[in-house]
Amino acid sequence: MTMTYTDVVLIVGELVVDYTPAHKGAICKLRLGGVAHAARGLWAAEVTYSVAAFCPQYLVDEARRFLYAHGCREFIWLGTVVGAPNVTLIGDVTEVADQGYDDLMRDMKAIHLHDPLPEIDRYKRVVVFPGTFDLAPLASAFSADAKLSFDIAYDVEDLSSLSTFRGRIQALIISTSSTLFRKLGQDDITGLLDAARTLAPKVLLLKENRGGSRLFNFLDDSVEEIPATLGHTVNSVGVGDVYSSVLVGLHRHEWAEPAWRACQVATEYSQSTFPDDIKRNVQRSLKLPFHTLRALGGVMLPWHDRPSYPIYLAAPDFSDLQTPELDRATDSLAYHNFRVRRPIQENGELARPAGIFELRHTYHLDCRLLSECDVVFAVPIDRDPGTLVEIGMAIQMGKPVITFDPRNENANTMVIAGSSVYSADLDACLNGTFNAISELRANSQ
Amino acid sequence: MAGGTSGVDKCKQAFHVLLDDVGNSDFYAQFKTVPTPGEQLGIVFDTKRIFAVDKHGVKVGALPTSFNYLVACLDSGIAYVGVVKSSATSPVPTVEADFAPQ
Repeated sequence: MTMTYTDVVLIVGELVVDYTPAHKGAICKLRLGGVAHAARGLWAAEVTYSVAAFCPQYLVDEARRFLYAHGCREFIWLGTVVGAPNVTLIGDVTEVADQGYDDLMRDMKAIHLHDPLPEIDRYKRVVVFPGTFDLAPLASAFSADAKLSFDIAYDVEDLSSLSTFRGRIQALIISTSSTLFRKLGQDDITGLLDAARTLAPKVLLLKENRGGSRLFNFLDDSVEEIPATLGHTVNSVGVGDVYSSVLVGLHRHEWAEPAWRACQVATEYSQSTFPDDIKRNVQRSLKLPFHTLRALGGVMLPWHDRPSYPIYLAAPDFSDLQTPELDRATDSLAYHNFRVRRPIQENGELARPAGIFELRHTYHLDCRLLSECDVVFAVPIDRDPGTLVEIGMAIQMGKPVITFDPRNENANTMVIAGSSVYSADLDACLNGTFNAISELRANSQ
Repeated sequence: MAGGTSGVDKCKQAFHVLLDDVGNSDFYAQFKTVPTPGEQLGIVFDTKRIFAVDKHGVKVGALPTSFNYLVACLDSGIAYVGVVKSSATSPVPTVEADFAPQ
């Protein structure tokens, strides 16, 4: 049988084993990761694909079996990983804050390309997920007329490492979780766009986590905003890879609809780890007409807009109180680039007992800060009275209040019903924060 | 649990919902009241949002956007039937309902 490769997307990258240790409320999770995530997504979206991967020898048979069972047309073993098992430990599968990826024995890891390199030049559409392998030998291995796309979220220190591919690049894809993004575009998108333009891609996709994504089209200088659909995140590992690969897999002539569709697939991928469930849900959602998808909308809150909506932290943020839940919440908000105003840190922590002047002066300062903020994120640990008063004031002012009650100490009518979101789950509170500020942004436009 | 499926299909799950915008709904505008507990409801998608409707198709309130996944479920032929669990007209029109796939 003759195989045609024109429409087959080749996924290039590393195959790893993802391992999430057991933690409170969840059993441990072991699954094939790296480009296997992209493969699952493409299979679910019924996009024809092949995989060219680097992995340790012990994974080859299992990877081949897995991939062929999930629609892979061809598995090409490009090279072997030695010195390390290619196992990634994952700290936080929901990406409430940094996911805490850790590669076992990473300092000992080396990749040996097979020599001669297996033939991959029959593929004309390629998505590369850079890893610890050397990209240079691949440049000549790809067909001269292959259209290449790169997910540069990880393992790309500098875009100059892709300069050899200049003029052959279709899409550059990056995420706000990426250190390269933090280096090039953390404060201003211009730096990232300028750096991307040096490689002459057609588009740049910036995935902005729960805040949606933006597709910068360099052909017509347009920007397509693709909102996120927030639900219960079961596992966010590999979701970005699914987004990238499906975007390229569905692209034919234009980019906007493939980006929206890829986002749908990625959303479904984040909400289950059962492949058959994912595929069923993906097939259902892809049947929605594009105009319906657009009409439904979702959460759109670009990274760079988030600091424009300051969040008042209502919490017993005192230096002598051990509040790991509060630390977790503030880490999460900072990780997602929210500007958190902390009254106790900004206006000072009073000595106890404090005089009436200090009390009143600080009260006025805190009230002013509260009125200046757009949203209140409350963590009423120990039923802190100051926090509860601040919640009430914010409700009266009409500000959205997100109440994170990790110890379930405040299950009270006024607190629950007065809050936009009330939950002991930080993931739900983070979604609520994105939702509330996204609405403020939409109303201001 | 092993295997490729969890055995759970979110489209085939019953759900409980507090409706949005009941005070701005067609039902409230027409009747100046809300459906009483026990009244039957259905679900429609009107090109932008999902609404709970009474047996005559009059909109009673919108489902929160977290239920937008139901659009794909409806589109794939799954229908839902609901019942008003509790409701109040004053001080704020409020309707709580239970739905199940048919």
